[in-house]
Amino acid sequence: MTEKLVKWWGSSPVQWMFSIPLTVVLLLVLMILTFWGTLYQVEHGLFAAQEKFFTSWWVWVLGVIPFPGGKLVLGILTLNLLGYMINMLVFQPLRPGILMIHAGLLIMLIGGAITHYYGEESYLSLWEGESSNVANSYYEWEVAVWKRDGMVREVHAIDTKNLQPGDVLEFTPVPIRVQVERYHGNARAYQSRTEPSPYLSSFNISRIEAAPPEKEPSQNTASGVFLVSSPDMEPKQVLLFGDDTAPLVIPVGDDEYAIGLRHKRRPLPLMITLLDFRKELHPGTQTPRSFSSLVEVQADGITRQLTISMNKPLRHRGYTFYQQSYRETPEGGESSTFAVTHNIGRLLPYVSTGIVVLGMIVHFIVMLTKHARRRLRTVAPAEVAS
Amino acid sequence: MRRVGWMLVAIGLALIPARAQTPSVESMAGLPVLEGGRIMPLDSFARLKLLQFSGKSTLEGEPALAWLARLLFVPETVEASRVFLINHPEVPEALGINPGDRRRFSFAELHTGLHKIHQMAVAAYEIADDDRSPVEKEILRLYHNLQQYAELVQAFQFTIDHRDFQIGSDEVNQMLGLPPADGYSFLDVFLRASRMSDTLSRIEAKDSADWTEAEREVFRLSSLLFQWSRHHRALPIPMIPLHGHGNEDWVSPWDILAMGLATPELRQEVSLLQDAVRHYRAGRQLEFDLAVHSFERSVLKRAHPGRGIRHLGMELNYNRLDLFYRAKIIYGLAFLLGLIGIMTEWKGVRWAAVGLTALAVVPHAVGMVWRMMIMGRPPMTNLYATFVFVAFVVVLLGLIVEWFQRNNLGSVMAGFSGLALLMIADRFSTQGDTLGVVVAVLDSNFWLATHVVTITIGYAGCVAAGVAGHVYLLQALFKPEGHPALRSTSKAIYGLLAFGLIFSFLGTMLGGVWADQSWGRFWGWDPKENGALLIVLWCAVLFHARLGGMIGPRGMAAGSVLGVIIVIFAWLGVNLLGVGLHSYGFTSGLALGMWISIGIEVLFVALTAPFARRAA
Repeated sequence: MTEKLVKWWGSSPVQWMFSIPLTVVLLLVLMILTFWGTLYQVEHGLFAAQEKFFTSWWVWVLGVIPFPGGKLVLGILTLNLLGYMINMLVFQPLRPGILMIHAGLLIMLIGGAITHYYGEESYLSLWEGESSNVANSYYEWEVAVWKRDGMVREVHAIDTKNLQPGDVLEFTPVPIRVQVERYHGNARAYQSRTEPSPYLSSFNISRIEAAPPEKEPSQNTASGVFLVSSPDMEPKQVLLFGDDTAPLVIPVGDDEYAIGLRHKRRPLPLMITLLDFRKELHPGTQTPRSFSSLVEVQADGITRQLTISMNKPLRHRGYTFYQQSYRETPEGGESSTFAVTHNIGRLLPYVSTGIVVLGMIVHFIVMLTKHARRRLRTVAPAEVAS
Repeated sequence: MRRVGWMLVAIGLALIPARAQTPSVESMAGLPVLEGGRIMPLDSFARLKLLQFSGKSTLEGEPALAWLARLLFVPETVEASRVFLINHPEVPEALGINPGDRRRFSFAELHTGLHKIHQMAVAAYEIADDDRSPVEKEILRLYHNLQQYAELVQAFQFTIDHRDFQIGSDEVNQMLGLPPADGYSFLDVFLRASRMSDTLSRIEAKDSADWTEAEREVFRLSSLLFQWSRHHRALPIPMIPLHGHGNEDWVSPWDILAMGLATPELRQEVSLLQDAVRHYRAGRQLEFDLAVHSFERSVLKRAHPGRGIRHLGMELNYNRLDLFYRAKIIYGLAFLLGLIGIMTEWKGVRWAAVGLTALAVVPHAVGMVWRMMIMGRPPMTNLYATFVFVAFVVVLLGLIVEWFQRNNLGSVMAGFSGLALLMIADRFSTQGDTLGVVVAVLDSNFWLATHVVTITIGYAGCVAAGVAGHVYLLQALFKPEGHPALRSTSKAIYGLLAFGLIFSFLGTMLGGVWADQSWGRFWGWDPKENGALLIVLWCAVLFHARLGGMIGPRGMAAGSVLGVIIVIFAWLGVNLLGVGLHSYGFTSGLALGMWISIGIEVLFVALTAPFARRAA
């Protein structure tokens, strides 16, 4: 059995998978991807470049010719690296420094994959005095339904990702049924002054048109037409627009329910209140020197005040809040926006960098002693001779 | 006895130098002014403005400060100086000027076309930044410069006699307590405005037909004061500190006047400025210097002793000594000597080249330390500073190579790189204040000192390897593979590339750490990150290809030369991609320079690498 395994391992296709020439090819392909993806950003923005080049399996050149995408290249590179390490551990003389450097790189690749699959990025915008315990997604949308009474809302929401015409959304136990007629990830809405809208719409929007995605995906506005029915309401065509500032009200028996299309919300394990936003400019200019937000954080029954500023985020239970941007109104109102991230692989790049650095040091020491030994060997006979 | 006294006076008079037409303005070089968010000496301000307008730091042999003084105090004398750099020949043509070979034009020349420039600038302003043509960008830049020029011309008008303030009535003259003179300045009348209040309140009740000549004159003067102060708002130069609400603001003399000269110190300071201007215009050196010194003393006494104020003298000396210029010259000499050394293998020449390189390092290092002390930041805040720093690291690496190999390779590398990189840095000094403030996200000395320094050292390692790569490919044309000279150059390439890889990798990772700390993500494939990654990947490709036997020493050399292209892309190209950089006409020049250097490198490899001699 073991013999077979060793034989299989030693076979040329397997060894080719783990060979240095393949490493070189993969690195070159990665370079091409990186360069191409960088140039692509000029026209199409960072997000589109990430989707097309770095988080994809294939890049389609001119729509037909496949070129390996970031996921594929990095995936094979991970295997290549793994195989190299097994080779070295089992069959070759151990070079501890080199092994550590490559182990660190392997951890980095794995960390990248974890971040890609499990990391979450969202934002939280607060005006001074406002509080919140949910963060908004930058570009994911949801159809949400909630009862319009009381302070505490129970919200039922369904992700709009991959929504197709004909799909039916159920919000059990809320007796509202929603059937998708049209859905657009980015759309423009039109109101008519003269004619009433053919749809039920909270802002009397009479028409929506699909629009190409924006360079910056957070600027997309989703919209859709849905067939909404409840036990008390015949199916009606409802138009939901992502920029609607108020939800649409639907009566169900004696209760009123609200329905809206909004950026996907993520509950946070804390309540955060913006007390004061501060901005400092370099004197006599409009160049900001620093900005910071004084916030009150309520979590686990403890309330505390702290400052979030550039290069100084707030961390709490795997969530991190960064000072991202701000808005000001001419009346003096200020709002602060925090980027909120949650990433279980957050520490892996740190670990891997540490291992690589350690490996470099080990390798350097090994090389140095080897060099010194070689010198001794070459010098010693000469001394004997003299 | 009396005769001796007269003789002494005569000797004294003879010793006083002949009165110059325009006095030296050295005494005002150190006056603090606020510009671009920091306090700087007036000398730096003058250099900045002249660079901004003309792309040069002296004008027709005249230092920037002397030009600025004439612009402020006697504007009519600089109107014919060709100070406006126009990078696109279509712009002067549109203004009806035949540019010929010239790229610089005087205010007098452009004056007739001002209306047209205004129209074109308004039209260009309406266009989105990305869609502007080079001509439109150039027009906007020129318009902006002309505006600033006109504002500087106005900045000291309050001190200069003006026909608006010729007083036709002796009675008014006496009322104001002004000594009899042909004309007065705005300030003369402004300082005595309170004496007119009685008359003004009296004539308010009177029908204007019944006003006396003096009353009419008072009315005219007071309405002129009002008009002038309304007209002269938001003008440069902020050079007077003002305190209130625990803050310090720096405001221009005109703004101080608009606020009504609240304290005797402010009154005194504005008057001293007027004295200085008058003495300057009359060519009285000593009096000018005294007025400037009194003004300076008064301002410094009141100013909050922040970093800018404390380092005024240091920055002034930094400007004057021009250390990098000195370093450049010595590097140039070292390079030449190194070349001679390689060709002749004279020992003395080798030592001279090493000595000169080491000598040039001194002003280079002192200049960098000086900049760090002035700014209170690591020497990494803009492209100019990174070039100066990379030059320094490459020179040090060259010296280390020389230490090990003792064959002039290191001195040639160091001398050439020091000279070339400092010259490139000069190109960037025209982009603006090289000691300027940094934006909020960079406001972290810790990360500037770790990430930026590390990655820049990585650039330097790859550049040094690239320089050695050039040397190898040239040597390989004449010497067979395996020749000791080639072997030693190859070793240097290997070591420098490893150095570059280690620091580029560390710098990239530290960049990820910084990004994770401030934005919440370690890696996001943004252009700057990708640029750094490309360097790391390329070095890794070279090492693995060498290890796998896919390339030999010649391939390493050619690869390290091509690596320079990747460094250029990461370092500059990425900045160019972020279209709409605040560098206007300069960007296109930079892009062109980048493409040319990339072309040259590719051509170099194509013309040398295939023609290397085979092993003997």
